[in-house]
Amino acid sequence: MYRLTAKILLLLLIVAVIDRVGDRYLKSGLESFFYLNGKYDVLCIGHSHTEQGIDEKLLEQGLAGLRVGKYAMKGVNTFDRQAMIRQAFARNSSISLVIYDVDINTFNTKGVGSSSYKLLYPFLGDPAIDGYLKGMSDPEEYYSRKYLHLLRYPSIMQKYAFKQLLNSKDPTEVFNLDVQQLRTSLARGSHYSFAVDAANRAAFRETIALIRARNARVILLFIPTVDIINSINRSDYRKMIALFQEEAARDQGVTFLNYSDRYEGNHDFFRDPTHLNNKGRAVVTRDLAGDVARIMSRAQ
Amino acid sequence: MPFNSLRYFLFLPVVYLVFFLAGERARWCVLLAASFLFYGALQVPYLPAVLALVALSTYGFGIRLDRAGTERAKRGVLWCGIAANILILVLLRYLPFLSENLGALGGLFGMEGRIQPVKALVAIGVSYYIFQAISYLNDIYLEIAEPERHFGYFALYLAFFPKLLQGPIERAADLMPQLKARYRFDYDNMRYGLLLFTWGLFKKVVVADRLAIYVNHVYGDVHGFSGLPLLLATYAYAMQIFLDFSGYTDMALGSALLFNIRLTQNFNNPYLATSVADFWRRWHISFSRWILDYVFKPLQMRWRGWKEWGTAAALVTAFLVSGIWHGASWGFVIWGGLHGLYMACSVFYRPYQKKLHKALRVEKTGLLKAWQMLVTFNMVSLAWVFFRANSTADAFYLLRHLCDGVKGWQQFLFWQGRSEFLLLAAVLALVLAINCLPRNAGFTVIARYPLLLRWSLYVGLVLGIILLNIDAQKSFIYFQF
Repeated sequence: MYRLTAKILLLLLIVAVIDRVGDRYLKSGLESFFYLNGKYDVLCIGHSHTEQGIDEKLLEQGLAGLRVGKYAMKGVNTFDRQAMIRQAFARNSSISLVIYDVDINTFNTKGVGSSSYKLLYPFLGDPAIDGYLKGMSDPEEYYSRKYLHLLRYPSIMQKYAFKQLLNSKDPTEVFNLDVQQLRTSLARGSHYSFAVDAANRAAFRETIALIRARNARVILLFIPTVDIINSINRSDYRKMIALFQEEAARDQGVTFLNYSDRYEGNHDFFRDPTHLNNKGRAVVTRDLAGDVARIMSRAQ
Repeated sequence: MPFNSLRYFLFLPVVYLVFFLAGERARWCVLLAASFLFYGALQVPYLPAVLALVALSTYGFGIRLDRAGTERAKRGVLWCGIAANILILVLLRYLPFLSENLGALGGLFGMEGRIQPVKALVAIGVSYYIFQAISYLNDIYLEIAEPERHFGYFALYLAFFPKLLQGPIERAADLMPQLKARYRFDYDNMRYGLLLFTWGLFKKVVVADRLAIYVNHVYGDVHGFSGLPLLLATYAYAMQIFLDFSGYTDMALGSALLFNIRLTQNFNNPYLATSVADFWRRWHISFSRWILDYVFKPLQMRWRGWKEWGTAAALVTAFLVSGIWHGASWGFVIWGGLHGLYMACSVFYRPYQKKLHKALRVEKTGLLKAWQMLVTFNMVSLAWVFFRANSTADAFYLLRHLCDGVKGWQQFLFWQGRSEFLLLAAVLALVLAINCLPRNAGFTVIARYPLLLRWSLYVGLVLGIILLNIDAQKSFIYFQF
């Protein structure tokens, strides 16, 4: 009995040491990946649309003198982004522009998972994130991650960390949208819906107010989604666009850019109905650089 | 309380410690109280009450069965006991299905709305201990087992927490003596138990849950796919359900081993089976044995006059029962029916198959074995479609479009990224390779490794679970049954 207990304790000790060392290693990778320790002027924040649709290096090249950071991860919703923006501002006071991606699901949690807050667990302990995570999770989940640090890293976050640590950040996967398959799928009943949830919209407005309170400008960027799904219910799509225009009209420091109308028909720009491929990403980023430069010069 | 939860990781050592420190006479009390606590942690207040009711009634029927003087009286008590248990099962699990279908049937005869649909109740674990209760009564009736006089041990036989929620379905003759045996600390049992538990956890949270991401992607929207992605998702589900369920079983076996109790092995490389009959000797073994002993054999005896046709009918009926046991839906019924059909057909073609193998001179060759494994795996996987699909319409759509070409396979395999797919392939290959080793050989081999290698494996396993676990799919597939 004593022999076994001693062995179990020793095993736990070894695991605990590796846990702490591994956490530091992965966290350093993530902080670099998301520019959380760097100084920059333009912050691109959002979910997979930004992650795959904006090339921050290309954007920086197009914006002479402005540094660009990108804090985007698959699936983060409006509430997560609020915490992420707090964190980014707490670590970096030089942000003067936030590019915030919007889409038909910005005001609901349909397009992204309800458990997306878990992606922020690697930053548990950061004052800007801690309270948010505690409020979102059940005690079992929260405390297991508080004490077992490697549990904080979902596979996607490990992937981000290793991409940075192994210096393989550039996307290598090239897919093209299968238009025929998408049309078949939609005809057989797969559907995309549009909805507005009051709590999401309120959180969105709070986030914009938070950014504006830090004297930073905001670009609400509708990264293209393919026309086949936008036209399932074109009137609802238009209503969503009108809502973003309305949000922009409330404050001169907020601009809405709709790239979806511009590129929704270019099917060769997409890897799937809602995400750009490398080709689309390059085109959209170049356009964005031009628009951002114009907006920033006008603001000055 | 699922085995893959932090609560269980705290619960198990605490129960063991109390059990270890308690006196010999109090140990069954500790395990029984822990089992009810474990069941109560599901936060469904009526479930422990149902368990207590089943324990009380079956215990009573067992005693009455033993005291019944005549064969007729015995049979009466047996059927009353079985009926009481089945009634509980139907009330908890099948009323929604029955009311829904009777309502639809009533609609055909102009009686719309007369039969209101009943809301489904949570019935986790119920079908497992009810099957145990039925086997207990049958074994007393057949004089295979003696009725248990000590209610505490009997209740513990039904409620023992490692096997309460998902089996194995234990026979009284196997489990009862172990529950009554004097406990002595056994280092090897503890070590194997902990290792088995950890290995089961790895299979579940690292591999099965990772496969679930791919499977759910396709089965959540079958109309969005055709051809090879549908086939790959179906194979992936075959692996997922095996690793999910066998992972759970390993954790159950490992937990029980801490208390020096050896539960029934539920799996023996089922996908290496060379026929569907062989598959059922290797898959969910405790359940297959139950169906064989208490459904198939009595029916086959009754219908023996019809020769092969009687055997075939008994097989189809037994597998339909098996399908319905899994759940009240047409998908499960079709799944069970398909297996019944496979088996029934084999009754007729087996003699010709043997002749054919002899004529082709391929009897007992590796090639034939490999071919049979491939065919069996595909037949079983095909049936899993009805088990997994969200509706029978989805299942039929999937089967119709299974051979629509290879388009989209890359998008399916790499939709989580190439690195994620490679990781999945690596962990799946590792688990299947270890699984192919003779039963328990893996652990015996590990025990002989040099200290450093052995400890590296232990640490690697624990870290693998922490770092590679998938958080999305908490519950086990077989929880619902």
